[in-house]
Amino acid sequence: MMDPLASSRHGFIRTVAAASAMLVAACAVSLQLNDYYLYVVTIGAIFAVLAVSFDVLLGYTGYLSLAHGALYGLGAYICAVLTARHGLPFWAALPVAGLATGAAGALVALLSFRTRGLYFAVLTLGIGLVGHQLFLVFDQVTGGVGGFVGIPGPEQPAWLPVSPVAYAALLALALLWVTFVAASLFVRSKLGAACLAVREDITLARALGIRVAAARLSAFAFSATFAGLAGALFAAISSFIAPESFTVLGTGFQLVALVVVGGMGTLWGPVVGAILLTALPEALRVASTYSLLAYGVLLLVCVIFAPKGIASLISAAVRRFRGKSKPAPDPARLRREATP
Amino acid sequence: MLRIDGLSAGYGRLEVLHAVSFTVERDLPTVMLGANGAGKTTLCRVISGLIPARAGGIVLDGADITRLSPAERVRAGIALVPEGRQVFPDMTVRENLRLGAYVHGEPGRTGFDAVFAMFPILAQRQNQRAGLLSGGEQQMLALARALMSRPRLLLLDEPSQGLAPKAVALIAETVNRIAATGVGVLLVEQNLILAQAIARHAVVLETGTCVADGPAGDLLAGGAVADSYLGKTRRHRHVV
Repeated sequence: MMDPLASSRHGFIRTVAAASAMLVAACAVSLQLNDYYLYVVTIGAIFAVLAVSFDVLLGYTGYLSLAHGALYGLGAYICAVLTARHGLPFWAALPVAGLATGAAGALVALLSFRTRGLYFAVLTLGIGLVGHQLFLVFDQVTGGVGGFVGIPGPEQPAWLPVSPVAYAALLALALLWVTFVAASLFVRSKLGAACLAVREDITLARALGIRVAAARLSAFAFSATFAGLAGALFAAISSFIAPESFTVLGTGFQLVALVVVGGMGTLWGPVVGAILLTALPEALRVASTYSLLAYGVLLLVCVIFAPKGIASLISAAVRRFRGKSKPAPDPARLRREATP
Repeated sequence: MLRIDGLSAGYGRLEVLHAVSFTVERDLPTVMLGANGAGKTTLCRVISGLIPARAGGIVLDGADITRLSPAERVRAGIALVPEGRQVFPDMTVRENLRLGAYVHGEPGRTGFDAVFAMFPILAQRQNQRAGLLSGGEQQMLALARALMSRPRLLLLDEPSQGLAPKAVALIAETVNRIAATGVGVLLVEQNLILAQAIARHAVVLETGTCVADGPAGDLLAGGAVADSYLGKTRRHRHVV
């Protein structure tokens, strides 16, 4: 599951360089698009942020959380309340929303990591449902079922003379870059390695002196922080949010689909998954009656033809392409030579 | 350096170890012999803190470590090489080693180089997936990973399991080299060849109780081991 070269510092620099090149290219292309497609890019990028943050949890700890949609909503409402009610600028509300959501994520983790496997999923399902209900119940703060109206957009600097819609797309792409780089750093860090070790073999990890609870807690808090940032940006860009955007059955399960279809534990696979499963159906909305059907068929095709995610298909293709110039060493032969 | 004092432990309602006592000296690599089910793995788990002691104490170089967490014990100097071929197969050799140094932070180049000097084969394969190594090499990796935590005492749980005689000989040689650097060794084994090659002191465990304790030469050569360790032999004698 892990690229053997990815652990080195060299690998990290290459990852950042590739991500930066993709960012520049995506920004350049986006600026040529009309407002509708800019909106598609924005939503796609925000879902990609959610998918990458979710992959840190699902792909690197192996724990399936269904509370991610509620955490995303929490970030959105915190940003909305701070900017619309308390007059905070977006750039101040954004980090507060991220940190507060991260703290909430840590609480969720403390509560839910007492359980394992399916029980963990069911427990976080409960937390996700409660979170969604709280957005409805506290209507004094959240606007309830009618939604939160009039959230100020992100302040646009004078040196960036693009339309507000284009600016939103650029911000979403920039947040995706930040999330991706931060997640790459996290999974290469000591804590990230510890999370993988815990996922692979919890007893062995403990024997090596890894504190299992601390590793999982950090992954959950990291993941929640970026879900909160995504929510905050979503709120500021949309100017209107409602609880229906943060449901377990909508957002919670959709994230699972994005990450599984894209390729768990790769970080970039979920980005591909998010583009394919959120931006594409949106762009194909011309045939709106069939768009949900198309979505379902797309999911089926992906899982049947790429059970380990689209990322594994792309990796295999790249390996085959490289293999033509340099034959890959045969593992069996290596093993024979290695036997003392 | 390691003193086990009346140690009892078990799982649920089952008690596996009953008041086990023995000591391991730094300059006397020790083997703990016992048949399957004698409680050898349980003993390793209690010493490394993976399961709690119900009674008794564990003292490492004068410090009571009975109530410490596994992480604190690794930091105190106990490194476990668990039974089975315990490496992370999907991680590279280098990543496996890095996790061995977990309690000390990032190992840095010197940390890796010290271990690579002892295991040149791992240096060659540091970017390969650990799962692609041969069985013997994986056991070497597990040993090397344990050394990354700079242990005072190496706890080896049946390192010979499932290995060819040639690989077992290599492990014996490596463990002897490690012991020569001043690291204490407690080897838990069924394999008498490996025990003879490494140990200078032996303890025999039978259904959770220590039944013999003495110089390895005497115990392994005499009938004590055969009598109390190989239940099979005893039955065999009855038949004959």
